[in-house]
Parts: sequence; structure tokens; C-alpha cells
Amino acid sequence: MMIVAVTGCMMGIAHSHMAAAALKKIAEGRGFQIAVEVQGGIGISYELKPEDIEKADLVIIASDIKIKKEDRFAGKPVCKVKVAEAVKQPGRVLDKGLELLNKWRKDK
Amino acid sequence: MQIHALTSLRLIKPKMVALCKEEAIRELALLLDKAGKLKSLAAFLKDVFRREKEYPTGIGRGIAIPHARSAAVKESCLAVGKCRRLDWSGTGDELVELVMLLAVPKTVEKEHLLILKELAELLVEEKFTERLLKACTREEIYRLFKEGYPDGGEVR
Repeated sequence: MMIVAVTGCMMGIAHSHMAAAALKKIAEGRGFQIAVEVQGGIGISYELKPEDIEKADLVIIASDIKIKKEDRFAGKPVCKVKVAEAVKQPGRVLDKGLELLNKWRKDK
Repeated sequence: MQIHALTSLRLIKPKMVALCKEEAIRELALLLDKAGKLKSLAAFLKDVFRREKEYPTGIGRGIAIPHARSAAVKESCLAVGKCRRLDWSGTGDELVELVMLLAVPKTVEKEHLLILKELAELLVEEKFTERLLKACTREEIYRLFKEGYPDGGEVR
């Protein structure tokens, strides 16, 4: 199971990094592979590799801003939440994503 | 990369006097200003309060990280303070007793971005934040930042 995530906030110096770290910790703790990109006032950091996106089963976008290059995720299930949700309740965000993935697979 | 490079003993205040969130932010910003980290205290505060107004910076577990990337900042730095429980959200649903005020200059260097990432990774470690919430002295708080994970593990 591979997850790619993008976190974003206005400044890009605190919440986006916190959300990235929180998602990474929870996903890895449950045995998933995850790659996280951070977006914000500073630009894009740790940009996702195309091969990771290609491999990804699920996309999580935790952002308060409109993220750049969202078209990279076309054809993938995308779970969108607020950045604060990923900071405070990363487990719930991951559950939400997995639920979406299940539904998406059933519909397919 | 060292997170403790962002802070120092003089930027840590274990017993803050603030009675509200605004006072807490001011109290910590004053430490930054006294240490010569700011070009203008007033301009920096304005940026922090603007950010705070957009969305309160509580991250749960009694911790808040008010912050600004501001032209009023000379170099990236972090002030850390412990206060009585303060209403951080304005609605009473988030009480904060540990405040970390993060100041970043308008142009951020790459190395500082890495520090921000490592700071975030530390703060999601409950073992680390638990120790931070228990620490009572400047030295203890500083040492926690210096050592990173309390069990001596490596920062990922």
C-alpha cells in the first residue's frame, strides 16, 4: 500500500510541516509506505516523485490553500482534509482516506 | 542539523506571566527582540497576530506554535515558554500551556527548511512533547531540544 500526500498552509513553515510529520508517523506506524510533499508560502518542498505518484493507491491532500499541480493525481482516489485535521487527528485522516479508497475500489 | 541552534537559554522562559494568548505571544516576542533576532518587534508582532487571526495555531496536547515568516525577522529562531493554561482558540476548546514562537525571515534558507521539518518531526513524538510539558527549568527544556528524542533515538 502506497500513499502520497500533499500538505499545505499559507506560510508553509509550521502547520504544513507538522501535518506532514504527523501523517508520516501514523502511516508508517501502520505499515504503509508514504511520501509527503509540503507546499506553502515558500513553494514546494520534498516534491513527490512521479514514480511514487504512479505507484500510489491513495492520495491525501491536507491543505488550507489550493495546492499546485493537483492534476498529477488524476485518476486516483483523493482524500481532502484541512491541514489542522492532519495535525491534530492524523489517525482519523488516514481512516477517512482508507474508507474513500475502499469505496472507490468498489465503485470501479 | 540541530534544532537547538534555533533556540538558546535566553529564548526559553519556563514561568511566563502572561494571562492571555496575546500576552503570551508578546512575552516571547520580547525575548526574541532582546536577543537581537528582530528588526522590529512591532512589525513582527503584527505579522504573528495576522497569522493567528487566520487560524489559531494550537496543535493539540496543550501546545501552540504561533509563527510568522516576516521581513521583521533577522534570522530564524524559536522562543519557548510555559504558561498557565490559556484559551488559545478563543472558544475555550483549546487550552495551551506550552508556547513555541517561531520566527522565520522572508527569505528562508534551505537549511532552515530542514530545521522546520525536524522540529515538526520532534513535535509529533508524544514522548518528546510529554517530557517538554513536564520540564520545569530552562536548562531542562534546552537539553530536550538538544538531545531530540528522549530515548536517544535518531531524528528521522
